[in-house]
Amino acid sequence: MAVTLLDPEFLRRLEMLTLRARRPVRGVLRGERRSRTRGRGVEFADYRSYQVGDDYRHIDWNIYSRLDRLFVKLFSEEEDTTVHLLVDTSASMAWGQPSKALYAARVAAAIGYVGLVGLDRVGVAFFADRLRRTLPPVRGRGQSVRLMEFLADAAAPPPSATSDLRQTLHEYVHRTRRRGLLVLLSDLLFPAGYEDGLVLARAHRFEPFVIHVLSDDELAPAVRGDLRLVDRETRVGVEVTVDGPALDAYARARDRYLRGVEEFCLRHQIDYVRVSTSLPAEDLVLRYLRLGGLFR
Amino acid sequence: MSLGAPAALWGLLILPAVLLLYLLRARRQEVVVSSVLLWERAARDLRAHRPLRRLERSLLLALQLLILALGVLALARPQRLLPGAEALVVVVDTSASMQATDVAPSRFEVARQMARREVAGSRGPVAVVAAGPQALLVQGPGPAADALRAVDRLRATDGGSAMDQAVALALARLPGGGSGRVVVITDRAGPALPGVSYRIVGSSDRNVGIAGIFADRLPDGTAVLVRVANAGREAVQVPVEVALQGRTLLRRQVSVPPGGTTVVPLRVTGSGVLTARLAARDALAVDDAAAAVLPPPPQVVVAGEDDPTLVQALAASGADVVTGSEVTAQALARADVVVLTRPPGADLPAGRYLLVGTVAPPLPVSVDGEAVGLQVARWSRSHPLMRYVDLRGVSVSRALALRPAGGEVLAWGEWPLIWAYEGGGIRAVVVAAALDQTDLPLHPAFPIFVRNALAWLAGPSAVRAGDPLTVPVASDAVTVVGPDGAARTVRARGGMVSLVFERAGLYLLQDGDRMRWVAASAPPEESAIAPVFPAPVAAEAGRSASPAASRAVDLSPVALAAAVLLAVVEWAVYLRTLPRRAASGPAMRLRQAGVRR
Repeated sequence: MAVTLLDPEFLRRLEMLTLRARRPVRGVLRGERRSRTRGRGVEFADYRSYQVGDDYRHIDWNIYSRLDRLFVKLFSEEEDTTVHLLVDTSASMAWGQPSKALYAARVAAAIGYVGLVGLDRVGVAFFADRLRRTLPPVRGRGQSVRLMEFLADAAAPPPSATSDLRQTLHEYVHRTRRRGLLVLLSDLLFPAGYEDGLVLARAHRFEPFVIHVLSDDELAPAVRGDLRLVDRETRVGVEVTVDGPALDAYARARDRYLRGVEEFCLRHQIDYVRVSTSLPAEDLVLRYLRLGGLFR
Repeated sequence: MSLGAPAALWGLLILPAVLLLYLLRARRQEVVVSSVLLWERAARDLRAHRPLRRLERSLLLALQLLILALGVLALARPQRLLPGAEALVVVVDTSASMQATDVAPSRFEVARQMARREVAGSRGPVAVVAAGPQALLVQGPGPAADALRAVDRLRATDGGSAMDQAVALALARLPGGGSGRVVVITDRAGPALPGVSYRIVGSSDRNVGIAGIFADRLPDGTAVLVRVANAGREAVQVPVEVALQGRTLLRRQVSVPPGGTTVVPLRVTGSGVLTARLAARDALAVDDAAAAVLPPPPQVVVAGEDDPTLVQALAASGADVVTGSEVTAQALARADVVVLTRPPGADLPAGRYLLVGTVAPPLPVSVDGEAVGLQVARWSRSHPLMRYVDLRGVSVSRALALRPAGGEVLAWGEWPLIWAYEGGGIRAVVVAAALDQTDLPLHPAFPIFVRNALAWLAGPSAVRAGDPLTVPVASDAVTVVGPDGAARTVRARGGMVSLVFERAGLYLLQDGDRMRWVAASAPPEESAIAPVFPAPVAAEAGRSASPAASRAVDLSPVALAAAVLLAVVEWAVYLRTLPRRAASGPAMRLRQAGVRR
């Protein structure tokens, strides 16, 4: 299943990354995550490849003598950050080629894998009108298969209910004790809006990171003519003659909407990355999420 | 501005079709999208700009309609007269008198040559009108080449000349409300009219012709009058031969005074085709022979109560009457006219009927009770059924209260008394009162009416060449064999056929197993071939009304070019309504707003 979502080469490159928390979480974080020299961790948790800048003292020379490769030892108590991956699986996400839900699952898998490799706790939740399925936070590289298998179900047939971010996050923040990085993967096309939910998460001291997934035909519709457009999720219809002026109006509405999302996130100190499903998930993760501040 | 092909304007009917298509196009196709959130916001934006959008869509529609209208207009060949040319309408007389050979080869051929010269000398649009038994626009205003071809298509007829209608038609075809000239080529000038000039052909008035054959059926035979007319200014002696079915009945020399007529009487027994022939050496041959059909006594079957007065009146009209026990199915099938004095109990088949005091389906008349004490107030004086019929003083004690839904009421008071109908293969006369309920049989009008009714029901056996003839028929089509032996089939509509016999002579009509002869003859006025020249004042009128020379310009290329130009504009407007290329570069594929404190 892991092979379906992420190929081995991509996984290998993911191991070079670590999650970067924006701020300390309840005194658990000891310092820079990639350089663990200043940490007080004593409990061995895992190995990873040596990176430039790592403390020489943590290099396992025994392994070096056997394999002729440099590995550093990781100590779990230095990495006690929880990553919450909230994947929107509403009907509007089952759209696009590839579907936005599958795309979001791949990205979530990549983020989760980076988190597990970096000894972070990683939890996953699917939601639509409310929380649908959850994977409680797990830790350790050994949980990556479980994570992938769980995320592979994101592209399952969506529920018919109308998506609601506020209700979802209301449930989630009251169900989860551990605060931490909350990565929201969604198209943000919530009929009731996205603002209340994000404000709620922010108020409960989560660190929201919004990955806004859209398909190409949502950014630039390909439909033309005298149409009655029916919402896949709400079944609401809009009669519109899609011609040049209509598409211009759509572009204006789209730009206003996206600008509103950006300004909202900026105002509430929420990281935000918008992506089209036509961009390979690998590029998003390895390049743009680093630029967006999720990895380093 | 005038139109060379006004019939093309029927193409404007496409415009409503385009409008209809535009309306039908508004049916919306249902398309599922991931979310209508942004479309709802776009729709609000569109509504804010709706007037402009409507204008833009209306502009497209208006341009399309305008392009179509211009295309149709181009097909209609609009023309505009500019100084330097003039419109010309040539009227050519195609009546029988134009066959006179006093000018070689004939008046008609000379007229045709004159028409060609007129057309060739014209620099403007030319139209051609034929003045035969009916006025006919042979060629609308157009190039001279088309008009020349139309002149070549003209043929002389054996009928009369509807010259007044032809000149009126020609004046109506002049562009710009009469700016042009009408040239009438005929042997008989009409009244002086502005813009109309006459070219007269013919030089002689010498002609003797048969002006008509009149036959009157009597109990002991048929009285025939052959009328010979002399149009010349000199008395002539002309041999006349009359034959019945090829058997010569009379051959003698007849003296005809100048400008007068001589009637040759004779008594004929038997029936068949009677022909009269003159051995005249004159300019016009078409009137030297004429024919009349002497039909056998009509077979009349009286179905119902025998009424001696009616039977006597029928017999006095020369009919073979079958009554009482002699009425058999065979007699009914053979009958020329069926007289019904009581309801038949079934729908009337195609045929000719005289109904007295009763009606029958499928005649379009209903009975609304009884009319008591009916007084005849008015009656037709023009219908052939009522010729010489005087109904003054006729009283009716009881009659059917008829409510006709068609046909023609010929005599009526408070309710109709006499009603005639033809259609659906039926020709019928209905007298609303039974003969024992009226004193009509006691009036002299009764036998006259019965005679007229028989004649009308039988239908005419002689017509003027070129005049239309409508007869009820029993079958779907009739075969008409002309004087030249050529047969043609004419399809019936609503049980009636309309026929026009353009040539004088005998025509055989075959309606199923029934056959009848119809004789067509040249109108007697066509025998007067003396050319009639226009009065000098008329010629002046023609010249003075002719406008300054003008030149016709064909505007169809202009209309076509305008249509093409508008099509380009429409295309540009359409392109403007097409979606602009969406910004879909990397900036749109991924826009980062990753904000870190």
